[in-house]
Amino acid sequence: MSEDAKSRVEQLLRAVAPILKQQDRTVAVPAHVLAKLKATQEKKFPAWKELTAKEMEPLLLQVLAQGQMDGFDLISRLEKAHVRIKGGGEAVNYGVLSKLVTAGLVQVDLEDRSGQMRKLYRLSDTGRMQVETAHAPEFQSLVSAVLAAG
Amino acid sequence: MAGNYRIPPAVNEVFVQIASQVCERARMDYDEWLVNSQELAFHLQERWREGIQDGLSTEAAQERALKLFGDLGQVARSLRKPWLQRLLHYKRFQPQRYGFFILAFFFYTWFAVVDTHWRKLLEDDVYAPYYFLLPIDGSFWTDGVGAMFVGFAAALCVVVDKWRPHLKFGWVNRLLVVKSVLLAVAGYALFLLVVRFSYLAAVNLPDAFDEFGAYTKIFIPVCFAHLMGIALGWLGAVCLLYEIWGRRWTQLRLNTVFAGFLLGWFVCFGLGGRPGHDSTAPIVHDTLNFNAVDDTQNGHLVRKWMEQKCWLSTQDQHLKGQHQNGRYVYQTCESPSTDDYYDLVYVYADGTWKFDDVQIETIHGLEFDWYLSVIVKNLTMAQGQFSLQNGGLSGADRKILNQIFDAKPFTKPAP
Repeated sequence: MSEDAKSRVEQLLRAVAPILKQQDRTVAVPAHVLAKLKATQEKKFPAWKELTAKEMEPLLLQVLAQGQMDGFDLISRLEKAHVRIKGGGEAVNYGVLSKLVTAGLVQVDLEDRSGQMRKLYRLSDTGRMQVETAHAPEFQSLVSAVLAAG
Repeated sequence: MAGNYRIPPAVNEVFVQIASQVCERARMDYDEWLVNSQELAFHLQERWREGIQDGLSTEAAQERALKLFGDLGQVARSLRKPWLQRLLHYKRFQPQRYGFFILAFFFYTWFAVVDTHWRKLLEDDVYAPYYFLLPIDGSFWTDGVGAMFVGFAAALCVVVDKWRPHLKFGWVNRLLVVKSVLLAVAGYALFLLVVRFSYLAAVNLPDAFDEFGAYTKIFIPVCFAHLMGIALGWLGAVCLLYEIWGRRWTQLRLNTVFAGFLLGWFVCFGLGGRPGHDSTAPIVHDTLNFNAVDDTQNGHLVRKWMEQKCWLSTQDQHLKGQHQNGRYVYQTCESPSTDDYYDLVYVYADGTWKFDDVQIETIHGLEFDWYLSVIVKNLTMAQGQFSLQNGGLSGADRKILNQIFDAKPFTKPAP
């Protein structure tokens, strides 16, 4: 969503929320919906940081350096830190992870959770070496944000 | 994990289907399909749970999960591995690997036919192309179209080698390990594709350029076609090698493939090959006498057949002329009684001129343009060729042919 669209949505919510509150409704709006609406009203929309798939690779390596995690957890952290792939859905991150696995930078462990096989990603020795040798200060704030989102 | 909401079966089915579609469009292999589709389905399920937790309806949560997931084609493309990696490693592409190999061998065969024929022409070793196309001569056949059957045999041998029966008796299973010896055929085929093909191209193309330097407009596409052929040949060889390699690369299999490779080397480059002819021959000033010269092996066969069948009698022949082409001498003859034209072919071998073959131009006014040795060696094929060249056989033609093939002396048919 562009910055312009975000601000328009924000304005719309601000305009509609008081009307919704004052309206005499036969069906009561659930409290948690109202709370969500209020939170949305007060929330400042942060700008999304959009990275290409190539740029996403070192970020994922940096995040995985903190420990083993599954794909969904990793992608959720990215979303909470407002980092996403440029021009693609969040599932494209699985493709980036798959490339890292093929390159031997990331290893996959399989875990059986209630009958479903789950993939847990962790850095391989090569990947760890790459993370240690790579000097990417521009990613540090982003990595911190992603890790904090967890 | 977002809550522990139970996903309705219909929604779950949609998610599972979408995950499967992504895996299919990503051309995943069988062993990675399940775990990847489960991962993607789990992602969608969790996003749906988050939506429910945020107070969305089932449909809205499903819609949001799918929207966040992204375009299926794009996700599939991101998960798809490079085509060469898929072709070489994936189990699901096993038929394609064999297909590539057979295709490469097919191209190799035709390039080899053209190149070998071309080399023979350069060496003044004049052989008609059908020597390479038809099973007339064993050695030519293996250099020509016969090589295609080596490709089929190699593919079959690899299939047999990969067959792993689990029989009741352990000793039988152990004994079946011996079938790895069949991989020698695969090694031979790999040699043909990788080395011989490249060698033929590397040797012939510069010679061809020297010979026909003026025709560069033809030469450039020929070079390009050869380069493409070599690339395809290498790809086909790598496909077969990966198929042999698989997950078990034992010493026996390695040695056997290597032995086949060496065999190919010796057949093509070492251990003599065909008996060599003299590349230089003296200029012939006199007229060679058919009845006075010795015969080559081929010539002996032809002369014997001519004598036995009283066919192409040299008694009434009129010698029209003689010309030399390198180490070949052609005597053009005419038989007025039967209205035939033919060439007696002599070759310079072992320091002397020998009778080698008869090239028939016309018989009773019908085009033939074949060597008599071909007819002698394979009558049925010659009959088919004659029929093709003359657009089918009329009654009179058939009578003539029957006379040839039944080997009765010619009698000129009534007009």
